[in-house]
Amino acid sequence: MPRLQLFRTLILRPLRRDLPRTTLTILAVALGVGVVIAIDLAGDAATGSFRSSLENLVGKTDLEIVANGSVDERWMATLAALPVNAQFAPVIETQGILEHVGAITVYGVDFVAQARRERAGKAIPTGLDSAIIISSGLAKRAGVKEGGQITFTLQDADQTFRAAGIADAGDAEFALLDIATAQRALHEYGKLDRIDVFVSPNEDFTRVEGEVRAALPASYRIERPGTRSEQHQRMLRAFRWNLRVLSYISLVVGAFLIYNTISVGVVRGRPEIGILRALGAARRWILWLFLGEALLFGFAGSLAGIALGRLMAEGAVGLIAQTVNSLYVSSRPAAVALGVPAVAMAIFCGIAVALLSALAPAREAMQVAPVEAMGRGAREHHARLHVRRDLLWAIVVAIVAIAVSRVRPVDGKPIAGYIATLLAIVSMALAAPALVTGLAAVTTSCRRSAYINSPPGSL
Amino acid sequence: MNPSRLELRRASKIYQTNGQKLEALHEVSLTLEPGTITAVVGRSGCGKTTLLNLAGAMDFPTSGEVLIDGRATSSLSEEELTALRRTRIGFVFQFFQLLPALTALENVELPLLLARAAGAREAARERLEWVDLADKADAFPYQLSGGQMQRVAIARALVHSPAILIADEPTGNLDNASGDQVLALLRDAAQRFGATVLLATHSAEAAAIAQTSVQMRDGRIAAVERA
Repeated sequence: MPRLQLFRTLILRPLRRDLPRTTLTILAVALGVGVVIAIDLAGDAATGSFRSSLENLVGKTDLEIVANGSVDERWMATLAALPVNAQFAPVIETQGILEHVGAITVYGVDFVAQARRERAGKAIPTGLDSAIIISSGLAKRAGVKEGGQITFTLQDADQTFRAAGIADAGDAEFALLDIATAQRALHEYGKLDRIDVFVSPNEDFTRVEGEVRAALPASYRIERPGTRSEQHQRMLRAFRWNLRVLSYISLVVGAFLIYNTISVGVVRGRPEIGILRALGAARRWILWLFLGEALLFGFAGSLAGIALGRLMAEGAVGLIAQTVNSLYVSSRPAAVALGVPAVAMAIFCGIAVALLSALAPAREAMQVAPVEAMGRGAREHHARLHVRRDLLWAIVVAIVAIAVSRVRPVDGKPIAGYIATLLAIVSMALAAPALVTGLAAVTTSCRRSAYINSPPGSL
Repeated sequence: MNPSRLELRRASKIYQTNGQKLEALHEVSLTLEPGTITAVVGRSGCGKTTLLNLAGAMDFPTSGEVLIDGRATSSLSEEELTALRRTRIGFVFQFFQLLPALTALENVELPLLLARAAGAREAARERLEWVDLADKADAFPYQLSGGQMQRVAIARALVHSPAILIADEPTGNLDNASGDQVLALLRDAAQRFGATVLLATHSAEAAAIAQTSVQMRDGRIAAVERA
């Protein structure tokens, strides 16, 4: 209890007295933690409902034929002539921008064959060159009814279509064009993104795969369903990993401010630390005193950061979902959910960053000798700025950063890139005193020169 | 409290500044008997504070020894030195060196809290009453006069009943009346609490309360007078 009482009087009371600085430091930690939490929550929400929209509508394909670049549609005739009990469906998949809605996946499919195969009994849309079928979810959000008009931006050009039908596909948001219309809209004549293969249950799957393989050029790939999904998932994981790691950089801001706050406390408080040491405070106790202060900043900042992150996630989820939709795969954002793991991670991040950034000044504090208590009056401790030494280190760290940045990714993750980024920040931080000192010298020199050259009596 | 014997044996202290050696203390030998007051007098820079630092186990001699109860401070570990300062030594500084964030009572209580002693608050109140500042218990240092601050500092230095009291220019920043009060307290500390008092001073009045007066010049003992 005596130690807690000392912590309260020696640490909490000064923090309360210097509320602006205390608040600023806590806010800096909160901002860092908030960004990390926001990116994490928004990433979960934006990719949580990832699935192939088309799969929902037309059923699961058995094989997919893909190629680098595009698939030549002339191979459709070759495939159709194969002696196998299977159907081949050409597919184009792109992203269209719908005003006030955002990026929407637009598929080009063979309306005639599709209707014949999956939608037997339903009428084939008339006027195929301007017809579009939109999912019920999209119709609801875009406020479009059957027979109404809808304008997509495709290939940087606005194109208006007639909503020829509304497809019941749950919450999924997508649009379907006839394959020829899609090719015309995208100026991609004769090209397909893939060919879906539906194998009859009575057919030997391996035989179909072999026949297709033999019929197509070697550069074409025949993939099992899910392969692309796995690729998408892998890409999404990499995308989220990148976002998450880069969000940790925001913690650096908090780390700098905590370092600054504790350092200033140590520099200003050297005589007081000396008094404590003279009165019998152990070095380790001084260390824990300052780490305790940092712990407080970290904990308070984490709690504030959780609330801030939850708010920021609402804004970020739309942006991330749009990026995921545009670059990777169709997805529909889910609700932002703050769970125990996210809260635990936030508190861990906040406290870890606070403790790590306070470690150096706290160690400096524990080195203060008791004799500093004998200091005369307002004698101030002059923090030794090893400007030249730090600049040299900055150069060394920068060189290491460049070298590290050239290291290849590990397991697809640019670990070295992240380390290089961190080293670059450290390098700039080390170079900052020299830059500021240099700038100050230049401005002082300019002012002196202006003073010397100014005519007598002038300002 | 067990009275302590403090002894310096040919203690020298050399500081290195910008590659140059500065001998602040040269082979000083001095013995302080328990319960006595010894005054170190001399001009600024003659080595008084250095001597106090060594005697208070805040620093080590470059050569020679400082013995407290027969044990050389340079042979003690960091933990033992810290414990020694916490339990056996009290300090009074020229500039009071009260912690500004703490009230007078909390400042006095500090050594006991560091030692995790029981009844710290009561003991601190008793010492504040002894220095006649019970009514200022809740005042912060900036709300006290110089004399009051020094009396709080003396209460703090003696709250844990140390065997040795080190006082560096305790009246240096005080008016005569306040200085007299502080000297009376130091004399009382030796008589009532049995502390071995070592004080550095410029003042003849301060030196007059001591049984032994040590005159220092250029880091050496020039003369020793016993009352």
